[in-house]
Amino acid sequence: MDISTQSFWIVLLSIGLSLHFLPLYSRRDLYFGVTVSPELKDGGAGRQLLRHFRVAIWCLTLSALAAGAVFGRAYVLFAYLASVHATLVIAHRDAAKHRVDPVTAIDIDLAAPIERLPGGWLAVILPIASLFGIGAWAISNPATVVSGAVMTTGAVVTTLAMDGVSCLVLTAIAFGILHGSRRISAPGSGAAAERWFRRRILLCLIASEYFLATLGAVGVLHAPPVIMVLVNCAWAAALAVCIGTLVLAGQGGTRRASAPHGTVIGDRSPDHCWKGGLLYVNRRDHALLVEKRMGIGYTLNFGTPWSWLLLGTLLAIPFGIHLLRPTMPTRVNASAVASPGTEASLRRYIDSLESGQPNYAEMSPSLAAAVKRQLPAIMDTIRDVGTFRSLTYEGVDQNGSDVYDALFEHGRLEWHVAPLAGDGKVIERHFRALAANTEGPHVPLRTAF
Amino acid sequence: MLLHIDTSSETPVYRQIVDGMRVALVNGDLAPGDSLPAVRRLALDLGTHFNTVAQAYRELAREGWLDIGARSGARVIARSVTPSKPKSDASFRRRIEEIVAQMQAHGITRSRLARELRLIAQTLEET
Repeated sequence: MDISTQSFWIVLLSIGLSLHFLPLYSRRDLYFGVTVSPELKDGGAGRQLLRHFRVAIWCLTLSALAAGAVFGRAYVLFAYLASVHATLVIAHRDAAKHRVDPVTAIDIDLAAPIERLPGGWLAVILPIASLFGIGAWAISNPATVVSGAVMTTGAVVTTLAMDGVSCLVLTAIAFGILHGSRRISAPGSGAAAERWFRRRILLCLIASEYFLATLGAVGVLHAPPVIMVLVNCAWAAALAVCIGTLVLAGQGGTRRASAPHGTVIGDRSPDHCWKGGLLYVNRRDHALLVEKRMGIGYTLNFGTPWSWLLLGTLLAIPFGIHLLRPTMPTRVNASAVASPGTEASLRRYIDSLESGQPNYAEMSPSLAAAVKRQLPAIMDTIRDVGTFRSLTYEGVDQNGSDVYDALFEHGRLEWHVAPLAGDGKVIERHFRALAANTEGPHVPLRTAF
Repeated sequence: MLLHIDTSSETPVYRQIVDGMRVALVNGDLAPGDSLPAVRRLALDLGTHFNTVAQAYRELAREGWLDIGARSGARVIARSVTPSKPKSDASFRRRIEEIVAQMQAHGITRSRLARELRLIAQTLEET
């Protein structure tokens, strides 16, 4: 079984397993997004609803796994996600037969403690500011950043921008939970536990920001692979602990234990505003985020324009960065003269790659180390494009490096070579793949490693 | 201090907010200098419109209980109690009669109403 098949299986089985347990993680008086009697879940009718839902989910999961061997996996995954959502909606409709009138009394503690971000706003701004600082440093010191690895300045900026945007998204979610969702206003120990649950979610969001900032910094500053592995392992462990404790806590524990009769601690969103038990649409409610009825955490109130604005912004920013990314390294001054020796050194380098023995002696120590580290990927690319045919000088890029268009039997590579050092060694050189044998403007397939 | 609101009640939410807060103010549960939640915050927590809470705060401010600042939200202020006028006494009696009639219409027995009113009177005398 290849890696993509394994990933496909893991994704589908994970979704199936999550959905298997999903109905259990709702408050005692909620079942498939419907307000029901707290006793329903443990009764025969409740168990039958759950059994039907689980059978449907596992039938769909196993069918999708089988279909993945025959049809395109992307299409199968899309069809699977659509069908499991339809199953949830059907379960919601079935549960609606057991609907009871919700408790409409609300107790608001006017002296409830004010919720604040753990560590204050500085704690969430720091990672974003760090990424901004690293990005500014990378732009002002392109040679330092790029010479250590085969990575363009544009790619560095894009990586940092994506991390920064992700941090902003996490900050927006934290802000939304603090100021755009209902607080836990009821008194008592249950409410205190729920407040701690909200604080724990905020802590998870802030920790995620620091992880992203660390990842961005480690990537740009060319930390050894072992550091990357350690960072990823630490993050995976932290994530597992966070998810585990959140699931066990289950919105402060009150999702798994009956609250005193007539007491409502959690969110009081009207039943009729939940579409299929999944989407909350209430124009009269000013809450940006409301407590999920199925699962743990919060979901958007699609009845307020702020939710659509937030959603649109979240989608538009990464899309915009993706659109801008190809234009970053292609600003080339064609009238500039090539630096002496770069073309000859590049020809020798390509020859050495084709022979399988890179000429490390002609590289600075940092570039040689980077090439050694990334050699398998570089050799894969060289093998893919086939035999070298010709080299054309294109001009000088915004970093002052000479740009060459190398034509190979099955493709083209764009090389950027910085002026050689005083001792004739190459201090910075990177490449990216272009669309094969095309004329006119370069169409990058991917930025180099 | 708990504010009890029933969204399915016939009484408008803004009236419930005014009545609930006034009880707390009279009983001293909310003392001068105490801050109340901002209009947006309370509306969000109640799942109601901003204007509903704003209207309640304005009414309490008109009665002299609150000072509504532009940014700082609402704050309880010291209120001087003026002696009641004959017109107020008549209005008070009429409101009590209206409430009693309303409760009887909702099926509460006369003996139960009498017991509740006696309890209230007893509490007032003790304080």
